[in-house]
Amino acid sequence: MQNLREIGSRYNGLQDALDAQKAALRGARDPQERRALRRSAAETRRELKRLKASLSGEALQAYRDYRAIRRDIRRCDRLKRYDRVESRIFRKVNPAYIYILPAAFHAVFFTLMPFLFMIVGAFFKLDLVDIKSSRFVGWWNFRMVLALDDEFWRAFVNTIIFSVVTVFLLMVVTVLMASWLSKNTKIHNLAQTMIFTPHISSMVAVGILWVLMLDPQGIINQFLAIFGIQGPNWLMNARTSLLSVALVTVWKSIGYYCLIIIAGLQSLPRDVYEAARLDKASRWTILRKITLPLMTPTLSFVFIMKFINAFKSFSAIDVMTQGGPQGSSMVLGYWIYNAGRVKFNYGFAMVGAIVLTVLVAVFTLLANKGFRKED
Amino acid sequence: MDKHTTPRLTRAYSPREIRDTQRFLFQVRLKRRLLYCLKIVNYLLLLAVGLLFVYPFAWMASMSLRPLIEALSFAPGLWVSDPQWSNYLYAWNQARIFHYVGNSIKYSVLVMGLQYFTLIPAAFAFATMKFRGKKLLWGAKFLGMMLPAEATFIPVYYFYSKLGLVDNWIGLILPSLVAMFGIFMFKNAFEAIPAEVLEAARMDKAKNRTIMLKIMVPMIAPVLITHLITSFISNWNEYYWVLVMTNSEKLRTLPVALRGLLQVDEGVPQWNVAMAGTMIQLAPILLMYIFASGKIKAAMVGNRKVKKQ
Repeated sequence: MQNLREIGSRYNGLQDALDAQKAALRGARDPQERRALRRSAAETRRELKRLKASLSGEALQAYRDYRAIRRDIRRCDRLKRYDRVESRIFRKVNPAYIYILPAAFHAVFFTLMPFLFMIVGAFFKLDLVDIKSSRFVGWWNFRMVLALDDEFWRAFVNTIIFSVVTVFLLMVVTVLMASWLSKNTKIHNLAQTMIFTPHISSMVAVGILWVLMLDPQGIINQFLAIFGIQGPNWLMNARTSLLSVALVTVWKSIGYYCLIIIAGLQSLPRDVYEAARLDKASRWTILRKITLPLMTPTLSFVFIMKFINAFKSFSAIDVMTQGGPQGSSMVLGYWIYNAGRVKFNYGFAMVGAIVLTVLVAVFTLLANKGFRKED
Repeated sequence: MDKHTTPRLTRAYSPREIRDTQRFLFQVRLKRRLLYCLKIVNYLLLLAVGLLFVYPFAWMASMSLRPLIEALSFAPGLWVSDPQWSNYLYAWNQARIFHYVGNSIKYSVLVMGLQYFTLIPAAFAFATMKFRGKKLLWGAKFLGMMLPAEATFIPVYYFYSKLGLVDNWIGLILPSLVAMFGIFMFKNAFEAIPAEVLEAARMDKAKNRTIMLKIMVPMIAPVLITHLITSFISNWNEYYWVLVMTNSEKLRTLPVALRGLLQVDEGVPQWNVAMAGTMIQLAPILLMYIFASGKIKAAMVGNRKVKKQ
């Protein structure tokens, strides 16, 4: 027993000496002195090794325990030192600010600053290479875009048509399909899984796929030819290009919105339906008075999300038509990209961006309000 | 009086269905059989509708294996008599898909690895801590959600070019690191944890970072997995941001490269090669989906439900 304690004191003594030598080494400047210190530290280390080598069995275990204890103590010291620094900082600054720093950076750098830049920049003839040479032109950009640019108005109208068509189709199709698919058998689950596949694949891949399928000789037209219908050149025809892209986006997102509605349907409370059935409510009444009001939050969410996504649709247009023959499938997002990144008319692009933002905001508010009233 | 009522009662006790059992049973059997048929028809219809969404992908796989001449006929069948695996080799080497695959992997791995260092503290602070300007910041983040990226890309591009972040990995992954979507998700998850847990930890003088790392994060592990899946899918498929913020081919990822496969100066694009490239882009996600469809469905749909509230 005495022997073990002796080992501990010996070990601690050696380690203390080593630490002291290390500290001295850190403080020393003179190379001669440093060399001496380093040599003595190596000597102490060798001593420690010799001590360990001479031990066996219980004594070796004791040596290891002492070492573990020492390491623990040092770790605690380090933590304490860290805590002291931390508390010194946090006494002055709310720690939340450090947690929030990246988010705040993001909010300022990616939201507020671009937002202000966008609004201010719309009044300038911008030159981004040399920002100082850009001129203040007042409402000129607005006048050029809103009054004189036919393509912009076509893009605006197309955006509205595109989103109304997609949202309308999607609402009808998804609600019908969701009520059809909302069951928990194996086949129903399989069908749900299958219709969800396009949503997880990228819009680019889906776009390329549909470019192929909508080719004049593609699958769709081959299918129509069975019934003797001469299909149009879907994507290259000014009449059908926008509609085709809308259909493809609908095809891609049916599964997603369908599953959301199914999740909403399946989480409706059962007892309400039982009570309604006891009161001999007809199916139509149940649908009108119970299902629809209970589903309103889900439906409004689907509605808003789809509208906003439809306004933002860029990749579908970019892959499939690039604004289409004679601007027939130009939408606002693509118009802005075209004006800013291709034609370098930054001022015009800003005006378009403001219009797009207003559109998104207005529709969000409208949808919010409309669905609130129904409650 | 009595004589009149009794037969009526007896008639009431022997209804038509029991009186002519044979016919009734036949009707019931017929009805059941019809319902069974309808059920099967319903199942077949369900599968047909499902195929409507899966068949194009299968067709794409078949197209990617055809020789060019056969591919240009756009035959709707799935069977390929002479699979040309060289299409994949061609796409991989000649169209430099390997380069873009590497970029895509790098992009998604960088974002997935780094985002939690910023998302979780921010969500934790929004969920549990009090500080001045919280509402303002939250409002700003919300504005960012409403503000479409299509509208703000020019100012952001300008800032990027001033800071030298265009064509730069840091610049490319920066917005995904603090995306509102993730903060929202984790904030909701943190808020769902009962307040007693927090109070108990505070009683024991646990620090914020201890509470966050040792208590809260283990408790929201399922949400973390959900977010990991969603963020992988969305990063792997990211198109717009990469297209706008890169000028050279150095950092472009797979979706942008696929777009390039369609742009040919003259004639028709090599559809079979384009399809092979697209299959390479889709493969990881489709494989994941085949093996863990339930999980992915729950992840993609469930978290949106959280977002709604």
